[in-house]
Amino acid sequence: MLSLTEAAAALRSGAVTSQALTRDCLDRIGRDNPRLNAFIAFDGEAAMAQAQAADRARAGGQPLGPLHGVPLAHKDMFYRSGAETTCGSRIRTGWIAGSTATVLQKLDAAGAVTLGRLGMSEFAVGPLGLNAHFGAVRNPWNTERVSGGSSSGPGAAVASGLCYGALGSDTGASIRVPAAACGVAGLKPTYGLVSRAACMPLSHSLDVVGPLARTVADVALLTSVIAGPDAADPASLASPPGLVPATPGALPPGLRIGVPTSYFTDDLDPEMAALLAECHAKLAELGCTLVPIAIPAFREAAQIYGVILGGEASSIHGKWLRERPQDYAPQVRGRLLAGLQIPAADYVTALRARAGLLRRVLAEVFTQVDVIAAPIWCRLPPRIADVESETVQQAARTVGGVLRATLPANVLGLPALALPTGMTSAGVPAGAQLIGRPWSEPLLLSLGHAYQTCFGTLGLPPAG
Amino acid sequence: MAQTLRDLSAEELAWIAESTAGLLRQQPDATAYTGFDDPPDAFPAVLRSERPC
Repeated sequence: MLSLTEAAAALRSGAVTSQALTRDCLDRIGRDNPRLNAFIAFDGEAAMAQAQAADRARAGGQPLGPLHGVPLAHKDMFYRSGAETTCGSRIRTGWIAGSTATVLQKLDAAGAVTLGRLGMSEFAVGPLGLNAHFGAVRNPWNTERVSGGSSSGPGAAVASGLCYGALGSDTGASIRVPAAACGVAGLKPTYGLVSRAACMPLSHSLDVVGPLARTVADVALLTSVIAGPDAADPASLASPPGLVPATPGALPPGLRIGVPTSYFTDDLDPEMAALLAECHAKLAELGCTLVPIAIPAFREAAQIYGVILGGEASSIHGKWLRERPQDYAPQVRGRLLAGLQIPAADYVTALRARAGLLRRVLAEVFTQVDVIAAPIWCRLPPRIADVESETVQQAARTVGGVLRATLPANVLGLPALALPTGMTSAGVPAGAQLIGRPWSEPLLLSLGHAYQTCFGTLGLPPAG
Repeated sequence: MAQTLRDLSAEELAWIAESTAGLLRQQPDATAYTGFDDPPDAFPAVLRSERPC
């Protein structure tokens, strides 16, 4: 199967048609979605009509966007005017959006074909990919194991070739955790780089939107399309046009890679530690210098995460928690209700601490290293049957363990690229996150692309 | 809120109390990282200051 960038190039040259690629994706969806549960909804007829229009436009000599005719699908939290967006919830099942997300408008303008809406954790609460209303999304490498979440559908669908790329969101883990467990690349961008207008919110201070795709080069192309300022998102920050190039640049010489000696390593399973060490060794083979580094500010950033997330998510859900509590899954409702107990002063204190923590990380960490190469999952992705039968308290501990390595980047607003690194004994992939200073997406993408050019990708999982 | 809490099981209520207390115990002292005058919306300004020209 072609990668997204290869497919886009083949479509432009006329070597393939959008109808052929879209039909192939629909065939894969028909074959694999029943066992993966990656899609909440798909519309083959509508997708084929878009593909036909794309092929006609090319035949007619019309200008072609960078994603012209490429079949994509997205986490079911991006609003499209006149269409349903469930947010993975019972509460929003049947809800029709009145506006279209800026990121979808950009993908439409770039010529992408939309296949359907992908599964997710209920309201993006939960990093495992479980969902009491729509069922868990299953890991395409081992369907007994979780896919990771909350962008569970994007992880599973992209990994198994049901689409060429997908949008997800990341409030504490939700792009990187499923990307790692499913063996694909995913980018959590700098806070403010990508618009969140007309996207479901979970925590306004932490939410970012980003892509998942099978290669880092694919992720770069998608990011180049969706990045940029948007007056419709109050958190959007102005960035120079073309900040993220469509094709990753050459790897700069002399890169210093931070190898964490604390926080990320505190609760790291030996098998995951060995895979991370292999990744570090490969980065050294690329000519990077490995620099052991302690990162105490990351631990402190992690400590304020729950207060910010809890305060904001419970505010967003306050009305439904009062009026429709029975329509949430118990674990989701419990996490949201916990946020309602947080005193306002503690929430403001957490926000005040955030700027100082970022200044400290910039001064103490990113003067010594250019990129931190850290784990994503500290333990093996669990079996679905094991986590679905956990008590609320057990689930809280499991969730806390999964979020541990990824949430500091959200508190600090830093970009982080999920990069597949190998296979675990559980039969599912592992990945590392390359964390950089704000706006360093071009560097992270260059590094990830150089890694995949030299050491390859995981490819597609065996068909079930 | 009372109506919502009435609907919860004892296990859920215990977990909410425990998790909220846990969150608050972890809360660091903001003054260790910010000046007395730093506002809660200073964070985007730090990001902006890092933005490439």
